[in-house]
Amino acid sequence: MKLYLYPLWLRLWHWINAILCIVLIATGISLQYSNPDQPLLVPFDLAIMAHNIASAMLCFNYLGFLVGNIISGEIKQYHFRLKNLLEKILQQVRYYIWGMFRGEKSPFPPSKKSKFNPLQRMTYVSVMFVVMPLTIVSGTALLFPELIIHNVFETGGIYIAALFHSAIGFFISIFLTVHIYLCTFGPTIFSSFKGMLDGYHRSKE
Amino acid sequence: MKKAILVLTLFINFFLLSTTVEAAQDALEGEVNKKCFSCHGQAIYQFTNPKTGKILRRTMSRKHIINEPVYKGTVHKNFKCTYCHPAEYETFPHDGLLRMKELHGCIDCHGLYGRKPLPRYDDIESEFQKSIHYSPQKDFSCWSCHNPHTDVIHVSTENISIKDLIAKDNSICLKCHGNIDEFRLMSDRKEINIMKTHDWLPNESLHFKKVRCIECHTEQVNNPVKSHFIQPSKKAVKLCSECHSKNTVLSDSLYSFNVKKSREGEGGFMNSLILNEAYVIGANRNEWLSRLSIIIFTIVVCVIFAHALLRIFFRK
Repeated sequence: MKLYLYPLWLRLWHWINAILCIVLIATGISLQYSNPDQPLLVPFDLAIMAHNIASAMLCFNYLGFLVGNIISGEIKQYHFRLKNLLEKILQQVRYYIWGMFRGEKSPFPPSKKSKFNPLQRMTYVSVMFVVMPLTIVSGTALLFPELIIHNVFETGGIYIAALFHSAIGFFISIFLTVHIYLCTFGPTIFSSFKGMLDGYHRSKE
Repeated sequence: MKKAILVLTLFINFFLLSTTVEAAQDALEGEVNKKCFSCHGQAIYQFTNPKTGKILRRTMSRKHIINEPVYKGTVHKNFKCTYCHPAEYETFPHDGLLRMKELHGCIDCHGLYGRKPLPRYDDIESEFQKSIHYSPQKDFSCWSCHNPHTDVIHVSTENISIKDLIAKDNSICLKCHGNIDEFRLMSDRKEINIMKTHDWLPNESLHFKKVRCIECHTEQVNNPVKSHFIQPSKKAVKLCSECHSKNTVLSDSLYSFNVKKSREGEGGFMNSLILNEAYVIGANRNEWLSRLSIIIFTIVVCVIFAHALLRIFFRK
């Protein structure tokens, strides 16, 4: 069954975001786990420049995400109710670790009204409205170091901001890894990736 | 009981005698120094010519004037001048040949054969002898840097602010390295310009105010002994990250400097902002965080791998 869930603007935003995130993670790893004498993945100087350019582009792309969701009304997909939320999330988790192996049906199949299952919704809300803004704010602060408190209990404020930025960037890389894996849960391994190209969500039913 | 009174009396007598001798010695030393200060404590001194009986006034050379109140604030305040200077100086007029005599050095008291309760400076002496300042042919001694008539040595910031300590320590170096007349007493070089030789430093004057010369010109600055091993200028620290990565506050200031400097460059605000090459030195030196992140990532990948295997196994 095919269901048109992903309009063109969303797909464009998504793939630009994906490319930028991959560039940022690859360059971020090069900065975090290497040094100028022992480059990893990307040469150190190039990694700094590419990370800065990609992060600036990501900020504009994020604005596109906000504006697109507000104008199209898709922002309501991110609304959630606290009532029974944990139960619903656990139900979805149970499906992933138990139900799907026994051939059970997905407890929250996507529809036009509700694209995301409760676990997906909470994850996307956390990533897009908490983690991403924090990454953007800490990254922007590192481009404007005069905005950061210089000395925090005898520790450099910029150093703390850099550590925070690295840590939060690391969680985005974990999210991306799990996100890509979950995208293989469609009728075929590639059907979700195809869906993000032509806009149609595919399901077995 | 009688025995006890006897012991007590003896003890009191001994105490009184020792304090009286000490007081007498102090008074005597003060008296001798008083005689020295009567001339060397003044810019103009006077004496009676024993042959003509005339009272003569002379100008004391600047280098031979000792500020008495300042001297009395030093650790050697109770010393007789002749502890270090030849005893013959007690006779006036002084014999001209006395200036050819070697003065007692710090190590004479503070060395192996010195006075026992005093701190030992043998290690300092041996570090000094390895330093660029040492030459057996030249008259460079402890006193070239540490003026025994004025200096109060601070090896910690207990009684002095860091700012004052930096200024004080740097003034020792600048006495010669900032004054060509003093410098030429030790070197054949005809020109010195420390501003020029340090112009590679960003915020040069700020570094001079905030950093002691010995921080870059010695190997181990936190060790008062090792800090006497002054290195040749070629071996001085010239790598910013040497200091700016060890301390996160210093590291931040170097990062801020690089970002701001690149922003001032050509290419417009946005380009110079994004294309800057600054990086927080040390953020990737957090071993703990690096290891933790690798462990978490490995766990995530293992869980995904196990899940994928189960999916294949249960596939219908």
